[in-house]
Amino acid sequence: MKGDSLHQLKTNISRVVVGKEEALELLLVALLAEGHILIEDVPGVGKTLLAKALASSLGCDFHRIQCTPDLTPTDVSGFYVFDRNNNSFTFRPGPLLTNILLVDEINRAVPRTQSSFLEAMEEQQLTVDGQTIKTPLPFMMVATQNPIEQEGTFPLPEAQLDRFLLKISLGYPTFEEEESILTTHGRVNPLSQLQAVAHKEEILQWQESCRAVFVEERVSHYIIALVRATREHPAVALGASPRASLALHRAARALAFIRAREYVIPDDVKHLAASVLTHRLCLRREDRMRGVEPTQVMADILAKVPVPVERDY
Amino acid sequence: MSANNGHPIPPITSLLTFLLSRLALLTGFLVFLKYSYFYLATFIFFLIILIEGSRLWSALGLKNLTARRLLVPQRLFPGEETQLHVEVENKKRLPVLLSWNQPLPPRLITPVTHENGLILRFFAGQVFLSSWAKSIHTHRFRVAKRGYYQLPPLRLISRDGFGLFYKETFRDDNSEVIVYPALVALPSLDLTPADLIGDRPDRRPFIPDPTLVVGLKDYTPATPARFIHWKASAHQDKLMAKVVEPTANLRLYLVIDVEYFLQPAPAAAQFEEALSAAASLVMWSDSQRVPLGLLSNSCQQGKESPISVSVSSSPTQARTVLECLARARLESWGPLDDLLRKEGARLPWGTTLVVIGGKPSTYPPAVRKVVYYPLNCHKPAPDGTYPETPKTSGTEVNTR
Repeated sequence: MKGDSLHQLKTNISRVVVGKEEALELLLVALLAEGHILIEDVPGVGKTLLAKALASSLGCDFHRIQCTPDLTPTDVSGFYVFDRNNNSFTFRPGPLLTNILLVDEINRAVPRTQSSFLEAMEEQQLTVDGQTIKTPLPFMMVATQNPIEQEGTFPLPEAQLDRFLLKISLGYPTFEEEESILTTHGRVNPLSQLQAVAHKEEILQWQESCRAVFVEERVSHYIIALVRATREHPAVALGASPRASLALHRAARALAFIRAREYVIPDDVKHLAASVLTHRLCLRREDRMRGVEPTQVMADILAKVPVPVERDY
Repeated sequence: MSANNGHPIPPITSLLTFLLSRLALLTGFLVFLKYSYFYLATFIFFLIILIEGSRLWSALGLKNLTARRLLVPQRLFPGEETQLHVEVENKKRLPVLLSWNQPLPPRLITPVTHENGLILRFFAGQVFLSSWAKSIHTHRFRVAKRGYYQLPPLRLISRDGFGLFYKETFRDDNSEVIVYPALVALPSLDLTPADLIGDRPDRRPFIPDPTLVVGLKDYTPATPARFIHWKASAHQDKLMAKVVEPTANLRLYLVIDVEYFLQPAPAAAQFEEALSAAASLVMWSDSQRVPLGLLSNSCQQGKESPISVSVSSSPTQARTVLECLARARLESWGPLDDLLRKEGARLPWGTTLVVIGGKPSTYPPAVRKVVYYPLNCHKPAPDGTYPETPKTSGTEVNTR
């Protein structure tokens, strides 16, 4: 059954990634909502491991790009090379043409190379030398970035940040979790023993099922109210776009599906709002100087926008 | 309020008075009881109960009582308003009559004169907290001057319901207010972005940046080997070299020599003006996403080090630099040249130095351009040397 398969998937990944249940759930939300995820956290907390464990558990093609300042767009998308034997140009695909793409330290790539991901993220295709090439399905990009090292980095532009469905942070493990990590990873690499428990066709079916999850009109209005509130907040210079409304809508359906419901409840929206909307907010410079953070603004918005309750139905 | 003007230990006179009063009441009770004046004895007895109960009430009032201060915002510019939230919570069954007193650093606030002629120097409030109750009170004030201010401890006074006794305590959670220097418009500094980037001819050629590849060309023997594009060469079956763009990334390093403002006499107003100029440049850099750093030999309020912030483009960099400017004091840590020599080794190549006050004797090799502000005007001689003494006031851009 669908529920068993998803549970099996979570359990399989948890054998390698210890203690990150919420991050894992959000990762699955991004996968089922046909979105992409940005993980920002300090080194060594398991960002790359999480992406690799997901790819291994899904039996999908997986590629990794380690971003450096000299990475060029053709290194990512691929290029045409002249084949003297056939007297024609042959396309050599880049790592972008895969199911699960891990882009490590995306903020180390120059803006030109960062932009080369945009078309694939939004339209699941890329254009090389005028030829349009579709990415394989399912396609999900997991990008990581380090918030500590800023020298020699290129912050992602707002247009690209807007294309990430979710931005999450893993955080340090608890004492017990770290103890479990030493036990799990101390003797043998558990990633090498991970078997696939789901397949591409199954994922595509789940994504199709997510689109069918019911969203009541008032829940949709709640989503719109939250997004509009980000544009009207006094500390915000640029709020979330209509793309953000769609993203939150899709993510909420995916979360309801993961939690074995055929309908979305306002709690799903509230649970996801921070992860979906916070990274899309541009604060006013004066408020940034005063120490206002996007997370504070988002918490303020969530506290003020009324949640639809049952008696309103 | 207290008879001892806030001193936590009551003066000996009232302590003695209290002990004598208790002794007198007890004696009276025993005497009336002995001589069968039962009504009077009962009255004295209830009086004793009342007094002892009140004393116990005031003493226990501060137990299991939490008090928290929250400043929103904590960082601001002069003339802006902030709110001080005082949150008190009674985590016990016994209700408490609580008052508080929050003094403010005099230089922090814009003076507000009340009708009675007194200037506002503290916030005070009073609340009756029932069992398990919480209360939040908000005080607003405007900040006046640049600086780093630590709020004095919050004084809490618990009283009994009859107002007979009180007990006080001080709560300190290191609340601080950081007031940045006032901003000025960049044109008023007589300094334009072009001065920082430079449209004047450089004596040094542009530095090619190997990470900014814009195309390929055939390799020639004059091309350095590091520009060979090995992958393209393998595809083309001949050596190909990268065509790179020159680096034009502007990086600013603000340098403030506080000793310039101390000789021949401390010039506080000029120092504030220099800090305002620096703060304005910080805001401009943040708006243009220009990496920025700061170095100064000025002492800092609340820290035991001179000011040194490495060049960075992190999202919190502007805030960090502004905080350092807020903490700067008109007091020298030591010669600026020593600091510049030490920190200059870590400067990114091609940095523009903006010197505010004074003229360092040497510059780090990574520095590509030097801009002086505000009062020195150095026009380079044809041989590229600079005069020792300033000629006229104003700004001047020099290239090296």
